Amino acid sequence: MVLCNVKCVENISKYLNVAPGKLYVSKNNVVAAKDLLEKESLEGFSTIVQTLVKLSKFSNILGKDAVTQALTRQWLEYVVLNVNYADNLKNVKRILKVFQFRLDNPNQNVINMSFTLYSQELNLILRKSTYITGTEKTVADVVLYYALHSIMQGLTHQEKAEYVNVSRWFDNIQQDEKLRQELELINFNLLNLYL
Amino acid sequence: MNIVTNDGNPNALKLVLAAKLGQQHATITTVSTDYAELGRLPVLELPSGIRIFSISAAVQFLVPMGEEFSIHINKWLEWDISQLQPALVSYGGLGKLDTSHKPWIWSLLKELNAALKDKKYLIKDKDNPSIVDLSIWITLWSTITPLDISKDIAVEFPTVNKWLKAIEVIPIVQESIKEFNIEKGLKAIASIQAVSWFPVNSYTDSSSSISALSDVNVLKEQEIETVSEEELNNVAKNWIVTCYSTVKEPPYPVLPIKGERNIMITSALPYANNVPHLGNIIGCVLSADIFARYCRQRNYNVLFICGTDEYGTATEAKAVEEKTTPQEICDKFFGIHNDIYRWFSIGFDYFGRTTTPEQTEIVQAIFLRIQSQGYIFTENVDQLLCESCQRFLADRFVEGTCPRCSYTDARGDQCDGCGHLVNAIELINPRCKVCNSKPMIKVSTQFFLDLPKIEPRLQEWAKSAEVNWSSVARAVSKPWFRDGLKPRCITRDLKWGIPVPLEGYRDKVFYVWFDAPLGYVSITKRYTKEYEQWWKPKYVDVSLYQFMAKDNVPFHSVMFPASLLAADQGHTLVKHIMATEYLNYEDTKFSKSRGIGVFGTDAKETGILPDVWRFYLAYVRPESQDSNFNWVDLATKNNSELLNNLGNFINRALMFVERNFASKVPPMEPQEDDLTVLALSQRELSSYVAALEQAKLRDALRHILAISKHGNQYMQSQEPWVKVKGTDDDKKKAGTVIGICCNLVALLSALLAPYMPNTSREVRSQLGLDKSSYGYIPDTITTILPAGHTIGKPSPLFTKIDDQKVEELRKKYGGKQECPIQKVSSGTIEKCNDAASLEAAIAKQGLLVRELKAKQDKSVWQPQVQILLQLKKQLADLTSNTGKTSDQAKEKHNSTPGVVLEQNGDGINGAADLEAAIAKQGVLVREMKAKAEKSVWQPQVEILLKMKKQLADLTGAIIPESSNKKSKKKK
Repeated sequence: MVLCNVKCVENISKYLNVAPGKLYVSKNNVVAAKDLLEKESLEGFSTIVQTLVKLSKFSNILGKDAVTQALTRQWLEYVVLNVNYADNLKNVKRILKVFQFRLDNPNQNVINMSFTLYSQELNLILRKSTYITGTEKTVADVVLYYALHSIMQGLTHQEKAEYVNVSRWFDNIQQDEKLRQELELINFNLLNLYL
Repeated sequence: MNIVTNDGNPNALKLVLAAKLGQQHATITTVSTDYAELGRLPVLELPSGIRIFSISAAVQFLVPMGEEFSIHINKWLEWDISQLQPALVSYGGLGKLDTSHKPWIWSLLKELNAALKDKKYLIKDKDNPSIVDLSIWITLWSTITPLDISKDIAVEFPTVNKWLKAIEVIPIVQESIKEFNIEKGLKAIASIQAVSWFPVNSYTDSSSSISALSDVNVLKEQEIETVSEEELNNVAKNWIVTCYSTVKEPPYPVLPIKGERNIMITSALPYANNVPHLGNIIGCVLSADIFARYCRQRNYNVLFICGTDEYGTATEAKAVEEKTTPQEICDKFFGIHNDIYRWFSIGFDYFGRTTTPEQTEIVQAIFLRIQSQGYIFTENVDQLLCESCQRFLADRFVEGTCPRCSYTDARGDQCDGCGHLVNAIELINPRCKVCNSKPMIKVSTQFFLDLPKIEPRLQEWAKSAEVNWSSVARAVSKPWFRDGLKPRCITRDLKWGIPVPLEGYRDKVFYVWFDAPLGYVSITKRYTKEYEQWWKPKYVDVSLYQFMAKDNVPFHSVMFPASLLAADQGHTLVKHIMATEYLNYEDTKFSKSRGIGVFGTDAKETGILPDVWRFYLAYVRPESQDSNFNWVDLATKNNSELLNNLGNFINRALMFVERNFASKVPPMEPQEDDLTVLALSQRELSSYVAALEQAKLRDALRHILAISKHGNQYMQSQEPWVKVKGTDDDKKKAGTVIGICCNLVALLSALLAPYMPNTSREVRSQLGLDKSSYGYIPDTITTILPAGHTIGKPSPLFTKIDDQKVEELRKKYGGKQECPIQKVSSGTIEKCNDAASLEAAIAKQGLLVRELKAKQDKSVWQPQVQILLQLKKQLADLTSNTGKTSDQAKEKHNSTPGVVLEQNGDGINGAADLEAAIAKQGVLVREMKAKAEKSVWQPQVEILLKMKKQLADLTGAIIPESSNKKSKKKK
């Protein structure tokens, strides 16, 4: 399973108050929307998300100026290319197990490895900014929230502390109840660690 | 604007072209791939300094296009970066073509072909191709057009072919190609790959093509495990060093030495009223022991002390329970503790106890000193007194209902139900634990430590000290410092303890938290008369490390330092508080009072070696959050980590030397590949040392295992067993490989020793090293075993723990835990005569049944259910009798309960629902009883009774008639 999945798009549509129509996974194993365009289906997570935003009443969350728009696109692409796969290495693990590629618990290492890389990147980016694109919230923040939720859920306090910027950003974003929907409010009370 | 890129990257060409189209001026800066921000190039640098690394975002920024196309622009640019490029990288990224990916590329081209049908361009920009066409064109043109498959493409996808040709001749395209040079084909693919990161992609994920996956993984592994030139040079330099320090023999007694690292290690003193369980062991003594052993192997000057904490109400209560004297209890449990720790190979410098003359002397002296400094005052306090026992009921001598959560078995100091600290006089319905009668409240004079007065000095000390504490320790202490301290009572009206050395108060003893921490001092004194060199050091630095579970933190971070600061005699204060969270047993709590979990004495009987226990407990050490002991996990870790990884590596290396090199370490001439494994191991070694310096035992253990993992991989890839049969050069190489492996084994034997001392000794004997020492833990990897060193006789180190054994153990200890509970509950049936204790027994039994039902099968829990039902029946009988006496009241309030009944009673069908409702109603009644008059709560009691009766009727059918009679007869 990839993280930019049908469920994720559904969550985003709900947040934006738009109907995504029928969603499915295409033969290229990416999410696709059947009803957003006339006569043809639309494939690609980032594309669908941008289309949904335009259909919604919140089109300004694509970014108010050209630079922010470019940054928003950039992070959507980042989600599609990288964050998307932060969980799928479980498959790798299973196959590795069969081949005893590594002797012990390869899975855990591999998963942590990929996650660590993304989080380090995000952590770097978020070091200086409130939102992923700078000072205003864009759809990139929204998308990252949904994509990362399951991963953040699984972090230990220590890991949360390690990726402190991601944690701070995530905690800020998740305070929006409309955004959170039925998802769990994750505890970032890192005071436990630092006090 | 500035385009920053590596050499020949087709994606940079897209930016060049886009800048031209958008009539923007852009310079090109070529950089090496190391420069890549977040590992990605090219990057478009805006004048504002913002850098955009997404090509699709950058080209759209450079060439703004009309809204009407935006969806399709997004779609195709996303397709380019998320489909086409990953496919091409998989296809040609290894420097040669991997044809297994051709079908993927073909299906993408088919898509493109279909989209271009009847169209000149995907998206037109007036009459010209848009930046979308140009981008995809660049991707394809730069990568696969020079390859052989382009001929197939021309045949199979004529539309694409036409499109490719049409765009190539456009002047602006030609200009851009001239401006930014690209070497087409595999080089271009490599150039993209070097600065992009396509993780395991969607294509390989879904179809799980095995070859593709392992390719990706190999690539990744290389990516992670590349070793820099500098690391290799360092390793090579260190490797030639053949002097390997030895561990110095510690003198007796160990005393602090000026100029050395003097480390005093204590482990929280275990209470001498119970057998320690695995959680206690890893929480303090084992953690402290691993750390102490590490320090000794680093040639630090180490003193490690511990002992049993023997005074206090817990011991006295236990003595009452077992009908003996506290001293006998202490002697018995001191022996048990001592044996257990010895079995676990805990290497104390001294394991003492607190019931010694030294303890009395030191505690009394400190008390008088603190008093003379003005930090002690007296105050009258209300205490519970049991008249029939003639005893003040402190702490564990009294039980009752918790004022917070209504748990019926709360103790006088703490509630097991909600975990909160309880003030004994606040308990609802308190009862003497010995005789079960209700105690009275009496005033008694007690001594208080004036914490608010010491607080400023304590805060000042804590501010600088707490940086060295583990995060758990800081977290627990913080609220104490933040909320301000209150005076703490340090005496009790008990018999078992150190008497207060003041006339008129000699019948009082010191409360355990005041006396226990001073045990560290008195135990040190038992060890050496020169104990003050450790505790009141002059001219030397002593670092005090204290290990404990988090429940002990306040005593070590607040109370103990406060006492010592108040005494103001230059005592050593704790520097490092190494606290852990809790270890759970198979997802439930270990509980001394409830007898759940594997205890120290059980570990011995499992047949699992102490070292394996040590290893596993360290592996699951609750360093940053609660962790779980699990039999299956224990077996898995033993089999995968110890047997297959560590044991396998050591045995393979040594057997190879024995068979092929006549047990002599062969000459070694390490080349780059050999140095690489040393460099990787060096990284792990450095991390190991760094982790242990902070007492992060769990992390450090993983670095040990990583070294043997590197060793295994190294041996596997070098195949010395093949090379040893080859040419002379091959043989030499095999010698080098195996010599390096032996040296890694020697290193591992030292690193492993703090965790598994006996195994380490065995490995050292197999290596032909002196096994009276454990080996120095170095900072850098040097040659430990020079060529020509003769090894000993290798033999397997670990044995497999199979599933059958796991099941057997789980059952054995699962069954064992139930026995004491069963005894207790069958005992209560006969004992309980009054409604309150019956209710308590029902609640307890209900909890037990629920726990059992969740985990065990029917045969186990059925008898417990029967007991529960009997208890409930008894209660129903009992209460219906008492009910008659209040008939009048019943009539009086007849109307109200009727209404409520419908809501709370009659509507409920299932026994489980009823049980829950009864519990709820019970709480309500108890609350009301505490606050209101009888007339108010009586109706609610009636409801409760009715519900209980209902339950009895409902479940009564299950109870066999005979057992019912039997229980009545007994009564």
